[in-house]
Amino acid sequence: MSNLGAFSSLQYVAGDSLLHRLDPRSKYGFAISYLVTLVSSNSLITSWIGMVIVISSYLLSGFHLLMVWRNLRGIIVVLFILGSIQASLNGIEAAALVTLKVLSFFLMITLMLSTTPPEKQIEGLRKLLSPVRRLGINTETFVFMFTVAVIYMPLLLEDTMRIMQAQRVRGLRNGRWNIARRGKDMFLLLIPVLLMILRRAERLSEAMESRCYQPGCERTGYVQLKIAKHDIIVLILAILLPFILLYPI
Amino acid sequence: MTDSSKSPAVLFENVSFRYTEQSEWIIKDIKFSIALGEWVSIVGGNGSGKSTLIKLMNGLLKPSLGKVNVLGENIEMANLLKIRKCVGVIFQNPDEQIVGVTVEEDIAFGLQNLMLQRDEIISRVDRMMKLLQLEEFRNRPVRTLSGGQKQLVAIAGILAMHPKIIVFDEATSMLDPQSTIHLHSLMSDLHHKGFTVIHVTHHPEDILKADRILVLNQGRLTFEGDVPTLMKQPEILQDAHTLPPFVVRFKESLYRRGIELSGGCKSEKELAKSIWEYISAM
Repeated sequence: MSNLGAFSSLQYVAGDSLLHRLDPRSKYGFAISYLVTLVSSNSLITSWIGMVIVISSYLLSGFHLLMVWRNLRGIIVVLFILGSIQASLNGIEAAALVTLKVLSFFLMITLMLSTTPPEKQIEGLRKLLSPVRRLGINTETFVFMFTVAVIYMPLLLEDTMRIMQAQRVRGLRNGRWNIARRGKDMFLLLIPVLLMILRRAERLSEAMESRCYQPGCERTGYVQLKIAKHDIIVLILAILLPFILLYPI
Repeated sequence: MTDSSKSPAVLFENVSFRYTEQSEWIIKDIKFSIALGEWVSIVGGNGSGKSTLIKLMNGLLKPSLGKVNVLGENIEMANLLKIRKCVGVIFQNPDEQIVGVTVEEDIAFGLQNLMLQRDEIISRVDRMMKLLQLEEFRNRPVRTLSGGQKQLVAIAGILAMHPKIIVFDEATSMLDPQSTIHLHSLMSDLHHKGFTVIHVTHHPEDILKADRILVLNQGRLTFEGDVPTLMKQPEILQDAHTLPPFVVRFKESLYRRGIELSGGCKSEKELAKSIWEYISAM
């Protein structure tokens, strides 16, 4: 089953673009700088520039613009609701600002995940957290939680879809536009999904422990990362970005 | 410290296990030993305690009563990492033992936990991928492989840790027939290379290759011995909610119709030979 609905945008798409070749640490750095700038700014122009940056990055990554639309389809309802609330409370300009920010935020995250293989995401995170580890804080458990989430999210989604199909086969009809009925359907789904997650988690922990995993203990790193010239340029851009975008226009 | 080369691979001394003091015994008063290099099949129906037995061998569970010794060390006192390094377990569901994103990472997982040098990890991963012909899948996400390929990746991950005992906990039950045959031939290869193979199964045909069989019924060990001895008492398997292998059932059914075949019946070949001899003697 490859169709994971809205969640398919959170998966890695293989490629050989500049963005694919970037070190995950420089990508994390740029994404954090971009997102902080976006959240701190209240200017519509800054948000538009932010949007242009993320769309250009998509084009730079070699993805078709159609993919941007496919990724957005999953959150279009959320955007519409958010925009409507803002428009009724604070006017059209505030609604446009919120919509642009959420859009840019979502696109930057999906771009990050689409251009970085999971193993590099994890190693990048481990390396970024290493200064915290030197302070005596256990980051290994957090990194491993992220790893397990990356590996098991598609599996859990596939299982959820299987349960939904089993429910439909037994006569359950989803009310597409009936919000109350959809809520009820979701509740019916909740218990089997929770049970399945617990069962999988128990078996996975047994498999991991039987292969000598000890929660929180140090492990040898396997994936090697290298900072290249283009990574340094991206990191410099990440530092400059808040100053450029937050400069009063 | 005991000399592990002279000790049995696994020794259970009157072992009982239950999760809480109020709950029922999952396994009760089990006593057996498995020698190094032996191939042992553990057979029993659902809920007979087979998987619990395996978890006790690997130190995932500790016995409520009795003692479990693995390579001469009591699992309650020993270093669990050492025990788990020596006893590799391949579980039933290939999807529930994926611990790395790509094939090579999954194989490296146990070695990373053992804190080996990166170069050593890479060399062992390379060796295992070559041995199990997984080289073409090196950078593929494990999730995208077939069930049989995923089980091979799990086996590679276990073998890379250089275990002495390999446990297959119903490892073929979710595989297609071709992958099952492949996995069985791999088990035979491992056995010939000197590994202790413990195969937990409820498929009757799987037991024929084993040196010894342990039959579990509702948490109790009801039989311990070799295949020919067990085949003379097929009711033991029936009581344990499983069946004797096809060749044995076939021979039994001929016997009930007055046809008594001579010779063993460890395989279809032997059965065919016995039938041929019977017909020739007529």
